[in-house]
Amino acid sequence: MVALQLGGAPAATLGEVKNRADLVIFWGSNPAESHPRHFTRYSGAAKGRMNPKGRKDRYIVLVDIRPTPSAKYADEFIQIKPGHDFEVLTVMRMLASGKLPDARSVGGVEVQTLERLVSRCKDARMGVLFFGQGITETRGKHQNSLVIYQFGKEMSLYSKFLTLPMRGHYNVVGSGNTMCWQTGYPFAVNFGRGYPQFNPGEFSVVDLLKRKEPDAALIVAAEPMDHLPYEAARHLENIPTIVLDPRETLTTRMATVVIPVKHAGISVEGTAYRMDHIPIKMRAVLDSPWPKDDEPLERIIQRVKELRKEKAAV
Amino acid sequence: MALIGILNTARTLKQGATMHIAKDAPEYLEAISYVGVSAQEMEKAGIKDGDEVVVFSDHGKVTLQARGMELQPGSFFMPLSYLANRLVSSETHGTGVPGFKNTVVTIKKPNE
Repeated sequence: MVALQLGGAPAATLGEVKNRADLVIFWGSNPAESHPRHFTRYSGAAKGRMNPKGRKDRYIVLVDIRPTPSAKYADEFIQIKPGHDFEVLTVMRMLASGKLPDARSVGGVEVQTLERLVSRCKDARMGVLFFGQGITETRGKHQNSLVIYQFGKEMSLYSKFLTLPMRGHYNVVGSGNTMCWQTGYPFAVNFGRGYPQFNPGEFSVVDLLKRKEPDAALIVAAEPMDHLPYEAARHLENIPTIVLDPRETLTTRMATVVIPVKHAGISVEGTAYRMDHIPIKMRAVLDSPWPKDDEPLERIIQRVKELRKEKAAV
Repeated sequence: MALIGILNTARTLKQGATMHIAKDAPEYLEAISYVGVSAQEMEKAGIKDGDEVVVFSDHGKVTLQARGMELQPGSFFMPLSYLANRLVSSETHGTGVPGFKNTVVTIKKPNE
């Protein structure tokens, strides 16, 4: 997200990928396990307008530090040393501009292998580089994503070339989109001063919890006790917490107050965003006795306003 | 001898499929309670597939099974979960993203 703000990105929908892409690169991503339907619906076997033979019309490359289960679906697997993504991608940018590095290999990969990959990118009808958390959570973090976006933009001088993050977690894109049109910022937004302020590293949840700054927490449809480093999440055990969730989780178990709510997309209709920012309309398919997320939230806001008024009157 | 390397935590199909049963369900615990080590390093440390090992970092410690995996030396693997997150660094380097794939850990036998 930070890299996207810094550099912009050549992007398109997954429908474009399905219909046009003849070169698909997965970098630091293991879709066979993290996005099991991706190959069949969009990037592998899916038949499209310009890919009538599906899988046979695409050349798939997997770049990773280990041969994940996705490797067997790829035509080529390139193994790099852990934490060397930035170096490898930077050398690919050099090669794309006609310069040769003063080395035979970089990050555990022969330069010749990278030359062939760059040539494929330049010659593609439409190339797409999907990158996963192997890029965004390893050494270099957003700088790795930034160099991918830069590489994608440079490849667009030769071919149609896209760089798309493999976003995980249900509707994480919806959260970012909604925050953007509400506040102008995608995450790490602080409303403490009455207007939105954005600063990752300062207002992001892991950093706030690590510094033990919050003295209360409202947690909606999130599982910090499982998904965040315990070093940060354990602060939640020492402050009052209100958790809205349709299921029992590790976070509801330690919460001060739990409000059960309907399961979005199952018991309540609404909109969820696909990883390529396409809004998908969801219908309710099962009944539930619990309220929708917004109902208890509206009541909490109403009560806070009343308490403020009462306090002001005193 | 102890092994030192970088912990890579990531989604696995089994972990993703069982996490919705319950976080203390035997299926989920089976899916998350192991650390992947290369065969080369297991041999070096005298650890066999299925042996109990202690994994610790500057941030926490867990005891679980070692499992042979196709990994590069100096790189270990654990499925995403609260067990792996006992070890993960909360340092985000100003990005908001903690060290899910960038935390140094040590692996050793329980009696070492």
